[in-house]
Amino acid sequence: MFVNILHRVTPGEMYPYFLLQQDYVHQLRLKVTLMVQIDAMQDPQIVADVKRFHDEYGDEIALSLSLGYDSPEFRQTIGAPEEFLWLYSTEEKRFIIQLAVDYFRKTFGYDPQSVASYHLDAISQQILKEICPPIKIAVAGCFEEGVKVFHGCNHSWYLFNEGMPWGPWYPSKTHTLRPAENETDWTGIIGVPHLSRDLALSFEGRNDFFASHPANAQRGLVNVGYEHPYDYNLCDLYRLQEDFNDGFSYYNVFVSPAWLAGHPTIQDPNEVSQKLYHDLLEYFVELRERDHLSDMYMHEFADWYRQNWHIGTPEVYLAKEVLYGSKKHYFWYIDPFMRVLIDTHQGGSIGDLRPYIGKTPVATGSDQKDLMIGSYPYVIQSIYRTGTSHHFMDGARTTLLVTHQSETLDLCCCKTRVANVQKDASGTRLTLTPAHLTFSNGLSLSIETEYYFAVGAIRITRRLLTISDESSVLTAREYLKGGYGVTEYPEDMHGIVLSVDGDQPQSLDYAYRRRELCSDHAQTVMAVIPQITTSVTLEALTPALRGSVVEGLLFSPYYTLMLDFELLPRREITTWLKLNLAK
Amino acid sequence: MAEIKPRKIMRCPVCFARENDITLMKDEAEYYCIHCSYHGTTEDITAMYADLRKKYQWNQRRVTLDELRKL
Repeated sequence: MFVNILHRVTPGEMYPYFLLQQDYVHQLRLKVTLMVQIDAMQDPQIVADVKRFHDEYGDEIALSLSLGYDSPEFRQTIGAPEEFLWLYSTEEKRFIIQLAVDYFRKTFGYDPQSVASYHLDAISQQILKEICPPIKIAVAGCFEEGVKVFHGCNHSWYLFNEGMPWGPWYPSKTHTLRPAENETDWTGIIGVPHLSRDLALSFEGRNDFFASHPANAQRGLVNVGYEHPYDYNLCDLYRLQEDFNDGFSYYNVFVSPAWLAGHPTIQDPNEVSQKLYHDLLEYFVELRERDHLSDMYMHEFADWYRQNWHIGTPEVYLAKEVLYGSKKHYFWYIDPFMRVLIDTHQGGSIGDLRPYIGKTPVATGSDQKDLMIGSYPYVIQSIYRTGTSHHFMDGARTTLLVTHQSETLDLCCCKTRVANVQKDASGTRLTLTPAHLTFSNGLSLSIETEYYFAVGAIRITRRLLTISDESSVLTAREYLKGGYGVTEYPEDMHGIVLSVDGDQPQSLDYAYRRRELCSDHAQTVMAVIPQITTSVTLEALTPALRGSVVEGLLFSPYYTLMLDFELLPRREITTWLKLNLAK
Repeated sequence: MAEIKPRKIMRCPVCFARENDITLMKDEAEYYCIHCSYHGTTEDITAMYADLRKKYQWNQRRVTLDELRKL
């Protein structure tokens, strides 16, 4: 596993705690990248310390673009300060980036190779690469930081940054969080997340409670005093991903000094916070000594990644929940065309789907239509948009509905687990443990689901493995209920077109009328969503009995795509879920 | 190990249960929340924090890489 450790060079009353962090890494002989902001570069003592750390220990000196712009030039030109770079206008971003790079060059005598910002929008990345070509790598996003953290911070933390990769990626020119398709599409800077998050609990809850940041876990009341096995467990969860990604895994830790010294969201005394941070660093050393971990400067890691991880390479993550002790599995898949989450505790339904293939352009800033919302749009987000039904109607999700006589059972009600992951040159296959269903008349059956991930498409295979009475007549409905959006609130669905082919081909323009179109022997059912330049299609490979599409209502603003099949023993039902660019 | 004393800054345990960080105010008698109607002493709050931690059934369990592979 590769590890980047980052320290924020924070002037003022927190500076002694930065020095404490530095003592830790130097005593442990760990490589650290120092993120220096403009205001710190104006303090001669801090500059002298940073230079000494570089000369004596080799620490990488890098540029922080997150905070601390204060300088005479900044006050004179920008005047009204926005909190973060990605929220300024393009003209102001250019001024600030030029100012920061100039300060860095003047202070240290060379160009930085690494930068950090909680979110570094694609416009800023391209300006940065133009002004400072040696830049290789940037902290450019916080995995799944958005709605849940906004709520959790009393609606005061305006970082909307969801739908991004969990690990390093090649940011695209039209959306920093979308992995580039090719060299032309790439900003020229490698992105890494702000921290490594728990890919089970950051989906279900706040990402800033469950991360490679011991004080974040303290914020979530995860530790019990000095007891904090979760910090090691999470690190090992990332190591586990080497099993599925050709031996590759990446972890980073970026703890600001304030987290070790009286942060208002931490009720533990400072000595506990400091000890927990030190313990995690010690664990890195222990792993390094066993050749399980390589600590690198950010620019070093950028070189490795560029040489060894080609643009477009898919990555997977098998998340296992180890704090509540549910043992729940989530499976994540990402490539330049989509990011998918399979929720095994809901029968293997899709819990989150980001259709990167639509290349929805998003940029943050006061002069951009998206303003502060930098997230990549979803078509399914089952936490924000209901998922399976448990109050009123269901919402965004997929499932298989199995009908026998007049009774229908929903695979979402079955717990499954990841049985096998196979990732090779031919693609990625995920097989789940069988889902067991029992009808009220006692008829029982088990169904296995397999996903195959290809370019912008997911092949879903359902196999009826066992059935207590083979003479029973069963139908199965492949079901996708979608929406689109970037938050928990619905967007305007006008303009969406739903269609079905088959014996009675039909289409409708979305008007919140809950109309249903049905056609015998349909092969495809489709929703075209012009707002995000994306289409979503279910396409039957196994001949379908019929297909149907259902429009939503204002009280249930979704579209539903369905294909019905005969479900027969020892037979497969195979369907493609296809995403495409649609203008 | 020595007893760990809580800091004086406390978050509302009721709001925390909703995953919301709200810093409690304090008057002479006790802490109180301006986001909800919770109020209580340091001891009350500490006890509620302990209750909140019960949801993390594995918060004191080390799960090694080998165990994760089998999980």
